[in-house]
Amino acid sequence: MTAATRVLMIATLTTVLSAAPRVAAAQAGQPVASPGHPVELAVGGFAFGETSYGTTTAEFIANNGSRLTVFQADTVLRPGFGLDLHLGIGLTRAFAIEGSGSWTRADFRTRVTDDVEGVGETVIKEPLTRFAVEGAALWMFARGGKTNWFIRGSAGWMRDLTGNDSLVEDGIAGSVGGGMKYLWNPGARGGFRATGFRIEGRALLHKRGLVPGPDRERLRVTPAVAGSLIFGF
Amino acid sequence: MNRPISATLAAALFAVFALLFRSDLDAYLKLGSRIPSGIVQVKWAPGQMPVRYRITNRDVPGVTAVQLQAVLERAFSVWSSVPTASISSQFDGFTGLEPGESDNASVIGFRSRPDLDRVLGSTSFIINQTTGAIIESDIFLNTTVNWSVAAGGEPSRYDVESIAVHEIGHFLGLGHSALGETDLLPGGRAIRGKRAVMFPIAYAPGNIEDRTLEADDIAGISDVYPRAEFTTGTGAVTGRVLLSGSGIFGAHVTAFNLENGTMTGGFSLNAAGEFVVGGLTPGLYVVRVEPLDDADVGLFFDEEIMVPINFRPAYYERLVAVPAGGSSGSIEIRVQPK
Repeated sequence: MTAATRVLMIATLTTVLSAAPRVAAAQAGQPVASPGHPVELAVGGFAFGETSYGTTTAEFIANNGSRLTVFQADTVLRPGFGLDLHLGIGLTRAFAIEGSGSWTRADFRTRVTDDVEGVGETVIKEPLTRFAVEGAALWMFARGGKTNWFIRGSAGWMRDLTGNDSLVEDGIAGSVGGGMKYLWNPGARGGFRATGFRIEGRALLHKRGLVPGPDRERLRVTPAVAGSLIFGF
Repeated sequence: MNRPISATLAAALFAVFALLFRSDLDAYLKLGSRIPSGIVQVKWAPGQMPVRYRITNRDVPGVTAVQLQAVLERAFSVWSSVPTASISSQFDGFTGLEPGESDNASVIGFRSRPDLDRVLGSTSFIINQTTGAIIESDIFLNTTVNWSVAAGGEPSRYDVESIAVHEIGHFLGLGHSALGETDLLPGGRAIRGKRAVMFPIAYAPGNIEDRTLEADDIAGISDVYPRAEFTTGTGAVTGRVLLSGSGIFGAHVTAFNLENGTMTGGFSLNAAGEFVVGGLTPGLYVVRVEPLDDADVGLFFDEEIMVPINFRPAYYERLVAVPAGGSSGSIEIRVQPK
C-alpha cells in the first residue's frame, strides 16, 4: 500500500464514521452541528452604516489666550459595503469557532465649516480600503431542524489603506452580533455545496487604523447587516 | 519681531528670502541669502555646535543682565529640546560688546532703537557668502518698550522669554511663519490669533504663549537641523497651487492634521506654484490655501518678489494622506480670483 492510498483510506473511514451520527441526527430532526466537527464555509457580504470620527477644530490662539477658530472639520466614514468569508468548525452541537476575512471599501467624508475667512462649507472625501482578519466564536442558542439562531463575537486585526495606498495603518477589528442560519437540508453532508444561508446583524468594532479625527484609542462602533451562503463539507 | 500693530520690517534683519533651489523638503520658510550664483541657506554649520553666544552686560528697567541670561538659557533650550532637531547652544559669558556690530561674536542684548519704534527685537547675521554658514548672529531687544521676566508675565510689559524664543528661531536660520490672522487697522495690523512662535507679529504685552513652540515651529527647525528620525518619521504634502491654470508664487499652504489638530504651513516657492509642507506626523490632512495677506509680504520674502494675493482661500478637494518618510504625491489646488 502506498502512502497516498493509506491517506485516502483514513479519510474515507473518517467520513463514514462521522457521517453515521449525522444521519441519525437528521432523522431525529436534530440541529446540524454534530459531534463530528463539521466544517462550514460562509461567503457573503455586509452593508454598514455611518461611523463618526468626530470634529477637529483648527485654532489659533488669541491675545487673551482664547481660541480663534480657523475652521472645523467633521469627519465620518460613509455607509458602504464589504465582502467577507468565514471558515468555521463546529466544536459541539451548539458551539463553533470561525476564522474570518473581510474587505471593505468606503469613503471618509469631511465637512469643513466655520472658515475664518468665509470660505463656504466644503466637503472633502478620501476612499478607504479596509482588510480584516478575525477569529470568532459562534453559539447557537436556539436550534431547530432548519433554522438555527446564533450569537457571534469576533476579534482580530485590520489594515486600513487610503485611496492611493500611500498611507497604511493597522488596528484592531471585531464585532458582536447575532442572526439566523437557515439550512436547506440539515442532514446532508459530504462534498462541497451550498447548504444554506445566514443573515445577521453586527456591531462592527474598530480601534486605531486610519483615524481622521480626535482620539485614536477610542473604540468606534458601526452598525452592519450581513448575509452569506453556507457551503458545507 | 514686530509689535502687535506694526507695518515695519525689522531693519537689521539680514535677509529673508524663500529658498528656491531645494526640491525635497521646503517645509518652512528658511532664511536665505542671495549670492551671485544663487541663494544659499543661512544656518549654523554642524561643526559650530554648540552655538556660542554672549550677553551684553547691561541692566535695563525690569531686567538685569543676569536675569536675561537665565531667560535666554530657557529660550535656547526650547529649541534644543526639539527631539527631531539637532541643536545645542552655550552661554559664553557677559560682554561689553553690543548686538548688531561686526565683532566675531554672537551677542544678545538690549539696545535703544527709537527709530524702530514698532520693532521689539531683531536678529542680524554675518554669513559665509559661499556656503551660507553663519559666522556670527546678534539679537537685540528694543528698550523703547517695557520688558518683563516675571514667571507668569506682567500686564503692559512684553515677555522677554517669548520674544527671545522668536528671535532665537531667526538666530538659528528660520524665517517667518504665516500661521496667523490679523486685522488691518489704521497704522498697522492687530493680531487676532496665531499658531506659530515664528509668526512675525507678537502677542500683546503680558502674554507668554510664545514661550512654547508649536507644531509649525518644530517642523521648521527640524527641517533646518534634521535628526535621522525626522527624515524617516515624518512626511510631507507636496503639490502645486494654480490660479486660472497657472502656478502662483507665495501662496500660503496649511496642512491640518485631523487627528491631533496641529497646523503646519509652507509656501509655493516657484513660478510653477510648487510647494512642500514637510515635517508632518503621518496621517490624514485637510489642506488649505490662502493668500499671504495677514502680514506684510516683505516680512516673508525678498521685497523684489511679486507675491499675488488676489485670490480666495480654498481647500483641496480630498483628504491628503501623508506617510512616514515620504510624501503625499503631488496634488493640485486650484484657487479662484477674488
